[in-house]
Amino acid sequence: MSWLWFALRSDAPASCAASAPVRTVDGTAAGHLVAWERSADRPDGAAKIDARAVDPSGGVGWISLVLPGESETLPFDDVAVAGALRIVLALSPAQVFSTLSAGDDRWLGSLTATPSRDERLASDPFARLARPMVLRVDAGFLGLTPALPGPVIQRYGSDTPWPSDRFSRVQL
Amino acid sequence: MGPPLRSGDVFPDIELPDHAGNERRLSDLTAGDPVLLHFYRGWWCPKEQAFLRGLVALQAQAEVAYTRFVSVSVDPGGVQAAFRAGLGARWTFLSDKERGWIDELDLVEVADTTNRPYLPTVFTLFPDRTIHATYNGYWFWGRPTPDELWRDFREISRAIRPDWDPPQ
Repeated sequence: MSWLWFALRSDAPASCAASAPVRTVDGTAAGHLVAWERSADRPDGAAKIDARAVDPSGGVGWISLVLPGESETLPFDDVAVAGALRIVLALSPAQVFSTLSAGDDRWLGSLTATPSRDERLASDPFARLARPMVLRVDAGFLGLTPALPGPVIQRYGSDTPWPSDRFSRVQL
Repeated sequence: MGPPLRSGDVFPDIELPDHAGNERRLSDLTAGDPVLLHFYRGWWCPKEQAFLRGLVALQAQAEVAYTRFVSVSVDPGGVQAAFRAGLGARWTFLSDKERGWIDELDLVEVADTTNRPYLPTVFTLFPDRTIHATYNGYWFWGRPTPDELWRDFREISRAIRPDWDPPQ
């Protein structure tokens, strides 16, 4: 499974895989969601996101974006992160869900997207870990992550975000 | 009469709506992992309630062991969603409320002429849907124990994980 680099930036860079402006609930401009292709060089402040979460041909949507400061992040295996993942599996599927990560062991946040500003967005379990930003996303960014099978909450490799849902090699 | 459902056969790639109404294929749900595929009578059956409570206890191991569970019944999706939430299950339930697969798989419990539910049956599958073991759960004690499932998933994982023996 693949991943992209992801960040919320004040401006869209000239070169990226996808970007879209975002606005707060009251309509105030709040920057741009930006995704870059997978590379060894981490764009400044970016985190890994499941590649399926991003689609340059995607429509308008709403997100709950949890982005704690780098000094407030948790180990990915922290019980608070594991507990939030269990709740994600128990809830109705969202259009998009991906954790945000970097390195082998850090949880840097999460992104949940729905077509409209609905109850699923308001019940983001990661909002218990850090204050979420609820934002409207213009067309051109949001993809679709398949409904998660469960009950697996582990990552498929320590360098991938969750749910990236399989190991690259299986012996059959 | 449906396809053969014996060890070594490939289980059909059933496609059904899940408890939330999303159309799902078994091959997408397996995604490279071993699978417990569980056909059950319905929310109303005390044996199913007891067995599913056991699976809920086992999901604490499955969630860290790269192993999927899938439960299938003829209950409507909304009923499955409520049942799943009440149990605390965090895996996918598939609804065959249109009965598109129950005859095809030849898994009808003919003794129950009122509900005509699925015959309680558990399969452990390889990621390519090859059947490892089948458990006939018509009588409760025919169902797999946690120890038997552990042994099945150990054997499947040993076969499919290239690094089962840790890299030297």
